[in-house]
Amino acid sequence: MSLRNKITVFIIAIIFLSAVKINQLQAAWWQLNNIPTPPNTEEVKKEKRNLHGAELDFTYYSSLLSPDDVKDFYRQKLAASGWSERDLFKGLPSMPDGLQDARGSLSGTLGNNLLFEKDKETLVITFVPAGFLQSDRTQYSICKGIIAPNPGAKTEADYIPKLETKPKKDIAPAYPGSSLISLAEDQHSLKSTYFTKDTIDSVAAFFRDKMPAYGWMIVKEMPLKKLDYGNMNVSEYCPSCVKDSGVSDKPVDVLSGGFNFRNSRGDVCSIILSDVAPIEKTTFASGMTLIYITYNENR
Amino acid sequence: MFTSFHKNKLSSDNRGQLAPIFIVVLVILLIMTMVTVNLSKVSIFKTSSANAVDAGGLAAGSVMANVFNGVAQANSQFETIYWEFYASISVSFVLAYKDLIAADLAAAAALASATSAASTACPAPCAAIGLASSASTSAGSGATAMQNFVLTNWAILIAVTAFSIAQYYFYLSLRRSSEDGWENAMEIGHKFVFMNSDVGSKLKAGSPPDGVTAPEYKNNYRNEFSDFLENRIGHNSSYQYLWKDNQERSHYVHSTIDIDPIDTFDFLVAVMPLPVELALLYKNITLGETAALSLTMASVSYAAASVLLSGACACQSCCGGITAPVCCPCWLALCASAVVMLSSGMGANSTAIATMKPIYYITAIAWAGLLPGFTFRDSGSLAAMMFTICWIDDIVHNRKVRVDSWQHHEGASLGLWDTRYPEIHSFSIIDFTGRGKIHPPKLRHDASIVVTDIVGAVNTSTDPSNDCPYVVNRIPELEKQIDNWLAAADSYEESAQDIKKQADKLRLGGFPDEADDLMGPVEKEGTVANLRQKAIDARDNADYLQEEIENLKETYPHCF
Repeated sequence: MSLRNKITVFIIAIIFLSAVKINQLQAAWWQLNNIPTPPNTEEVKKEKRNLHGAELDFTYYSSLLSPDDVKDFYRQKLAASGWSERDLFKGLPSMPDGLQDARGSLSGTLGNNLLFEKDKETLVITFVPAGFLQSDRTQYSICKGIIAPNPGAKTEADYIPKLETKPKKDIAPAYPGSSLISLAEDQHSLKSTYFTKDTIDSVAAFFRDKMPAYGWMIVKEMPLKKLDYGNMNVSEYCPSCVKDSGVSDKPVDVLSGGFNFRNSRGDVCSIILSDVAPIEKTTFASGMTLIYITYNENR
Repeated sequence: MFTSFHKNKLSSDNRGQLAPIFIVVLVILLIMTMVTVNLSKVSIFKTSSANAVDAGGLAAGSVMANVFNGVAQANSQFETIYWEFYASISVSFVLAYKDLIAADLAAAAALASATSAASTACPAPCAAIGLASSASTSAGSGATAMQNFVLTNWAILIAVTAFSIAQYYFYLSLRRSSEDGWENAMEIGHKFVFMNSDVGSKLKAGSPPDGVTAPEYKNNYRNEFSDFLENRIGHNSSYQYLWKDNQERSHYVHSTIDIDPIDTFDFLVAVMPLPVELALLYKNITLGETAALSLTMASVSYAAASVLLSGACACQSCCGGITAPVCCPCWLALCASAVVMLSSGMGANSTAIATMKPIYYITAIAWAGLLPGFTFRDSGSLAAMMFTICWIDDIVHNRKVRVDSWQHHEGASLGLWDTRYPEIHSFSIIDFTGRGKIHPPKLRHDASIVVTDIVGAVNTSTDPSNDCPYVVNRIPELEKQIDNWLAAADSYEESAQDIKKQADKLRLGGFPDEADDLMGPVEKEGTVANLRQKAIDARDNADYLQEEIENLKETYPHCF
């Protein structure tokens, strides 16, 4: 074999081996970044949420397989790609007399969740217990990401499950510094909820000023008023809660108001603001404002 | 007349005998003709009236079907939002558990190390240093984990509050739009009744002259009728258009629409009422804070004990010889102090462990409390705010539209003959259930006429008791069909199970691709997925028929 041929063979071998290696690396990357999907299962939605101060990927699935089949699938596949399952039942204390049902409830609830860990990554698979959603399909979600103590997280607000996925429709301006908590939208409508620690008055002033720039006219302004919805005897449900933690029978005080808007196309948008004091004597009772936006296209 | 003819016939010939009979027949024919003319007019009125109620009913029914489809669509979003909320909150709970278990294990390890340190503090202070130090580190990490647990619970508490109130507001907005939809249905129904009652063709063209002020005379003009249609019809149950024509004859068309208001919603709410859920979470927070504080105190005590033990260790090493008088008491004093510190730390440590135990079940109850629990019926009170709404289960409504119309047209005086027309009444009952469902959401509500005063799917009579034979016969037929669908569903399920077993065997035998082929996809005939989908569809059909039975039982309770 001439030197030229030898060099050619050598180069081809290098290219071949590189291709194999790249392929293997790609496969490894694929294994690392993609969680396999069981057969007959479709991805319903994907979104990013900020939880525990960390950005996590949530993927929602709907499957024709039974929950047990889905669990078996993930246990098998994830173990093969280096994930180790953490037993949530391990370490559960025995319950005091009369609270064995609570342990059953705890086991039942925990049983609908699988927790896997790999290096610094955490993966939680959550099933809505069978029979609760009235679909005959198995519905579950996978949350994946690196959950590490976040030095920037100082208050409870930093731990709220926030949505990083933004609404597709630019219906209304986002209140500066607010966190998106929930979002449901389709082609013709939108429902979203935001959280902010600013006062309800400053939030109301913001939307009153900024909405016209988005083509909205105020049709109705609902002044802020305290909702009085009657009392509930919490002590009937949880006697020690009232006794020990000083929770009153009327723990949720809601100051509410908002605006109804309409644009030139006849679309309607409603912004409701609530200043919620979830429980008396709490540290965050003041300054927790929730913003609810609903939008419906005129069809 | 007959006597006169009889007398006259004797004085002449027999001719003319037919004349009286002819006259009588002529009069009868004339009366019959006039009656016939009236009947045909009545028939025209009846036709337009029947068309009007059918058109009005179908229009209102279609709007109502759209309203219900809209609610079903929104409900699908409700359920999705709930699912996403439950998924993210469950992850928070799992992570809270992780922290709780970590804190619990750390606290137990700290207590074990501290107990060992206390027992060896005086005999072997040097050996106890490491144990005390380890106890301090464990208690410290337990305190950190517990603080994380507390913060996570705060976050859960805020998220639950935000979610619950958001669902409530979304429900209110849906309720408001449904009420608007109901008002639209009433309005459109009335408009269609009047537009199809043939009123316009009976009126004069243009607007009433300036001098005409009385409403019944103004209404005799088409522009006034247009104004009535556009501006004067709202969502009241009845409207009437009354006018007087040029011959001073009164006419009116009256429309009545009956649609149950959309004011009562059944929704599925979470097991735990919102205030109780929040109280449980808050209880967790207070207990968690106590546990974290106790562990911090324990950690500080263990660290202090560790320092004291270092001193005791040094003193013990010189407790002998010339330094004994100083070192030996020093050793004993420091080790005794270390034991006191360790005991104090162990006290706080034990408090933390004891405090953590109830947190496990409170967390479990709070978590399980967010699952869909029971149906709550809301008729517009603020009490709904006390619950976490998962989704709307149903709207309490009969899914019917009933339209009645009365037409009256005054007859004319024809000299010898006054025409008179009876008041014409027509009704039509529309069912807009179709195959729609509020939950699980199916946007298949559709309006169709089920009963009219002329032709009815059930019976032509307005007396509902006459429908009973049909209803009584229909129910066993439906039950038979339900049995067939359920049997089919079971059979599909069994086949799916059998094929899945085969697939499992193939997989075990090293044929994963073949196994996957048997499992799906849904579109492929005979696969597990395909058979399961068929089973779901069959059960769906059975559910639909079962609902038809329930509707019949609700509509015709007197038949059973």
